[in-house]
Amino acid sequence: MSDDLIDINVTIDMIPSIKEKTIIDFVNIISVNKDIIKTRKDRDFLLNTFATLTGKNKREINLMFDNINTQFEAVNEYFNYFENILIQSLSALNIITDHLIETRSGIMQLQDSFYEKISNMEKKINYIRDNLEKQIKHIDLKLKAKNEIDAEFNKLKLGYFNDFTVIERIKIILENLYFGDTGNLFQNNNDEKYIEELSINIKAKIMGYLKENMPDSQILKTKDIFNFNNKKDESKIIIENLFNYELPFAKAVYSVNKKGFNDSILDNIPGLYNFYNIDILTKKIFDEFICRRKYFYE
Amino acid sequence: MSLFVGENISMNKIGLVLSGGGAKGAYEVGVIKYLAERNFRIDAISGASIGSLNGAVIASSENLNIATEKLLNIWTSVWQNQPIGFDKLDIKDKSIINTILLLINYFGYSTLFNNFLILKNIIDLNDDNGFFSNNTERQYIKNNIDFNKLISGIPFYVSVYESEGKLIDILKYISKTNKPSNYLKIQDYNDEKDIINILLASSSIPYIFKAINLQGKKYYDGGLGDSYKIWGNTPIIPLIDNEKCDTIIVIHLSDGSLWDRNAFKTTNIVEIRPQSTIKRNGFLDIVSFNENEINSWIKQGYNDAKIIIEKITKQFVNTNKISSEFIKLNSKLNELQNDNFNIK
Repeated sequence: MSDDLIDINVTIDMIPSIKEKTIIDFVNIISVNKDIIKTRKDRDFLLNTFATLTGKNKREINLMFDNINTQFEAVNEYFNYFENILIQSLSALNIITDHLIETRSGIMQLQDSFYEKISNMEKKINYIRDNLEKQIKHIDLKLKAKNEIDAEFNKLKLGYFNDFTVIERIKIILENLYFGDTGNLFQNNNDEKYIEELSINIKAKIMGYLKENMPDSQILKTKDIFNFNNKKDESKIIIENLFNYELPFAKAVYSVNKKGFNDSILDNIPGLYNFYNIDILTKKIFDEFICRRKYFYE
Repeated sequence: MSLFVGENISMNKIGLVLSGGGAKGAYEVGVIKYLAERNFRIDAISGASIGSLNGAVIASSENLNIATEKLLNIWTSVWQNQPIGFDKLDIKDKSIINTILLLINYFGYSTLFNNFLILKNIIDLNDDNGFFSNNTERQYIKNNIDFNKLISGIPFYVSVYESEGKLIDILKYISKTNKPSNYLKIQDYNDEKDIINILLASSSIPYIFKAINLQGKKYYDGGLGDSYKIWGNTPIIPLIDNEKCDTIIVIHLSDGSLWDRNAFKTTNIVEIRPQSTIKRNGFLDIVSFNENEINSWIKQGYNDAKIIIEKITKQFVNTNKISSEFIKLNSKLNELQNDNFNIK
């Protein structure tokens, strides 16, 4: 038996027994002696004298003593039996009590351990529940953001913003997305991979729209790039500012507008956009969007 | 042990000893009635005198309930036909001389001649006559005992005393120097006449009844034998020596009997003794076959048996409970010792 197991060393070897005769003698002799005593008491003087003369009195006394002795022997045996029962029962009860105390202590330990585990489990469940709630919320938000993105670009395709320049249309969409569910998603979602994929998706949509809607005359040819880069005019400065990471996009547009351009500077820079440029532009616009988001929340 | 806690099927072989005591035999009927109510089973019987007559009824009955019914029928009608006719003599308040004269009158002897005959009867060692006829008793036996059932029934011993002459028998009885009684097993005899004679012999008090001749020997009341130990009148010996009974119920018919249970060290002996006096008319109790006394003895026997056996039963029940609870405790402790309960 290992130390971990409850060890009961005391065993009861045999069950105490008692003879039937002991019990019968123990009880029946009381009635026998009662009969003899009653008979002796009932004798008057003459009968008593006669009983003494005949030796009956003596025999009765001897018989009573013999009976009493037999009864004492029976009582003694009965007490021995009873003592054995009592001693062994008390031993057994002590062992069982020890066992119960040990069991109780063990159960209390189990109870403490159980409560601790329950508490931990509760924490884990709460954590999982919070996570699940967050995930559900994000899934919901992702769905809303996706729908919102689709809706905004549909509006764009359907010409909702045709009163504005192409860049301004993009700006409006991005503004809408920024203040809508998409912005909320960008703000709260820690899934960078998903955000990145979403960003790429938005960028692709912007890029596609720019490519489709920018006039050919405004597409910067490869050969013009060099020329453009060599120009030192206000437009270039503005464009550089536009590309400057430090300036929010809206400020850039505003500052251009303030300087007297009727339309967006971007629309009025001939040959600025080619495929490569559009890609850069999209990136810059979108980075501005991210920047602004960060700026807004910080 | 189960005998006293209401289980009829027990391993014990149970014997019943019915002492002699004339009309006080009604006390035994009360005891038997209680034993029957408690469903006691009797495996062997021995009796002396009136005890042998009661015993014959019990031994020839299928069980104690039937025996009780028969005994009550016999005993509650016995006063209507007095076995020895003392109802007409009423000697209770008479002097001894008057009593003798009344006895002489009763038998119709002429005064002087028969006084001589009585004296002769008393002192004649070879005379075995008695004052009374046992015809009534003989008729009772014939009417109430089924001899076939008796022969095929449980072992039944009758205590009789082989006479050496009635005066010598009486003198030896008084001086407590007589020899032991003979314990005749009824089942050893097939002849109805022999069985009747044995039963009559067992209750033939010298001088009152004639000695009974059985196979060339004369027998008197078994109560005469071993009078110092009272083993003749309370014949337990054949149940121990021959039947090997381990539990024996002994019914006494006298106050303060000097019968000594301590002589039997290995046998369970339950003595049913009168817890209040059994005396009603003193010396004449043995012939007091009248309604009041018989009914009161039956009632007394029933009550005494109830008191004595209930006390024993109670002790057995309590002891059984102690043993039973202890065994349960022991069993549970063993379970605890043998399990593989791991607390950790």
